[in-house]
Amino acid sequence: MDIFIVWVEIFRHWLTVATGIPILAEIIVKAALTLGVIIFVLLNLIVLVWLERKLSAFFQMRRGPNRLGPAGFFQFPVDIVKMLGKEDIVPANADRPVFLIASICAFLTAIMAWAVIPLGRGLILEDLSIGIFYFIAIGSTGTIAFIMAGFSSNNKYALLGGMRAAAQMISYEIPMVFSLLGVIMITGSLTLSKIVEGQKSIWFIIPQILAFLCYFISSIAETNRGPFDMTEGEQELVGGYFLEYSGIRYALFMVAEYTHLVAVSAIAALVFLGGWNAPFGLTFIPGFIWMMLKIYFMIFLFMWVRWTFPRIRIDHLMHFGWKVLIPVSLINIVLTGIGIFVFRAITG
Amino acid sequence: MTTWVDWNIFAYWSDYDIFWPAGCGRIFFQGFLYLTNNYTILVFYVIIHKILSIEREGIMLFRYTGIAVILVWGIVFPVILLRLQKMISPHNPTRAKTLTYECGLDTQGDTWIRFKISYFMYALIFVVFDVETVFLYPWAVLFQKLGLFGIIEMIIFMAILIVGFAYAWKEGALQWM
Repeated sequence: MDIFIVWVEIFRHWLTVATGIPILAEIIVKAALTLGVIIFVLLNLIVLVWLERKLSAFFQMRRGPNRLGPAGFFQFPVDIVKMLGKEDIVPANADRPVFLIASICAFLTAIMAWAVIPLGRGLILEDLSIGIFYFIAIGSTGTIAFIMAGFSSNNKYALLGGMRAAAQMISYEIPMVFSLLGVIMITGSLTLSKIVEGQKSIWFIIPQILAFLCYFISSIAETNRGPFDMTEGEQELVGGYFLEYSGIRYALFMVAEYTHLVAVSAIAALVFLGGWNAPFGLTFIPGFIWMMLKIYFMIFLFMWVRWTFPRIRIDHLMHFGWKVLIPVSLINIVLTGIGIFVFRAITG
Repeated sequence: MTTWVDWNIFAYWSDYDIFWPAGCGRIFFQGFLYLTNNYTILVFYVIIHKILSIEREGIMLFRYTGIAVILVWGIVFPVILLRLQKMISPHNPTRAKTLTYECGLDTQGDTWIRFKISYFMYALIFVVFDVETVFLYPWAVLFQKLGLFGIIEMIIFMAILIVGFAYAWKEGALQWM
C-alpha cells in the first residue's frame, strides 16, 4: 500500500504546482481520499450485512439469504436499490425539520470517526495528535442523532427507543473511555499510529486484558447491538428510534450503525490487537491485510455475541454498566499505573 | 520507499517557494485579478502567502483540513442519496400513511410529556465522569514523565470523585426505578 501513498503525494504535489494554492490542493486531495473512505466503508457494509445474515442463520441453524448471487451475496445491494425506490414518508405529527435532519446526522457522526482511523502505515486521512480523543468525542455525538430521531417522530415507541439509546450510550461511554486510558498510560500518546508502533514487541491485549474486556462489552452497548439492543427491541418497541423512518432515510440509520460497528472494531484492532503489526513474524503479508483480518475478527466476535445471548433488561444493563464496568475500569487504571512503576523499577 | 516519511518530502511547504514564482498559479491569479479587479481575492492571496511562509506542521488549518472535508462529505453524501430517492420514488402521502404508527392502534394522549427521572439522574452522574475524563487524558499522556508525583495527585483527584460516586450509589441514584 506504500505505492498508493506515494501516488497520493505526487498527485498533491502536482495539484499544488498546477493551482498555485496549497490549501486548495490539500482540500481536493482530502476530498478525493474522503470519498475513497466512504466507498470503502460502503463496500465493507455489503460484506458485513451479508456476513451478519449468514452468521445469524448459521447460529440458528437456518440457511439465510441464498437467492441472489453466490450464497445470497448480492442481497444487500439489491435491498439498497429497493430502498431507493421506496416512498419517503414523514408522519403528519412529527417535528418535520428535526425528523429530516436526524438521519443525516446519524450518518455524519458515524462517518466522521473515520477521519482518524488508519488502515495501514500512513493510510489515514488526518493523523491528529489527539486521534483517539477525537474518536471518543465524535462517537459520543452519535447519541444526539438518536435522541433527535426518537423525539421528533412523535411516537411513543420511538421516544422510548431514543431515550434508552441516550441513557445506554452515555452510561457505557465512561467504561469505554476509561478502558482506553490504560493503553495511553503505556504509550504516552493519543496518536493512533504511535499507539500501533508501540505494539511491535507485545500487543496491548496481553497487559490490558481487563481493559479489552471492558472495551468490548461497552462498545457493544455503544453500537446498540444485541444483547444490549433495547433501543431497537423488536418485540417491545417494534423498531426503536427509527420506527417511523422509511426508504433511504431508514437505510442511512442502518448504514450509520454498521459504520460505527466497523469503526469500533477498527479501534479495538488498533489499540489492543496490534493494528497492522504482523503476528509471529509473518511480515510478508502486507499490514493492510492484517489490519482487515483483525477488524473482521472483532466484527465476528460482535456478531457471535449478538446471536448467542438473549436481550437483557434495561435495569440490568444500567446496573452492570455503573456498578460493575466502571469500578473494574477504574481498578484497571490503578493496576496499570502500579504495573508501569513496578516494570520500570525492575528494568531500571 | 519503505516508509511514508521517506516520500513525505513532496509535502514540505518550504519547497513551494521554489515553484511559486515560476508556477502557473501566479499567472492564473494575476489574470484573475486583472479580469475581476476584486480586492477580496487579493486579500486571500496575501493570507495564503503568509500561511505558506510558516512551516507546515505548525498550522492548525492544514492539519484539520481532513476533518472539515469529511464533515462536508458526511452531509453531501446522504443528501445526494436522498435526492436520488426523490427522483425515482413515488410521492403520494395519504392520511393513513402519515398517521403515527403504533402497532395499528390509534395513538393515545401526548407523546412529548415529562419523562422518567431515572434518565436524568444518569445524565447528571455522567457529566461528573465526563469532566473527569477530560482531566484524565492529559494526565495519562504525561503519566510516565510525571513519575510518583503524578500518580499520587491522580489518586487524590480520583478519590474525591469516587467519594461522590459512592454517595450517589448509596443514595440510590444508580438504582433503576
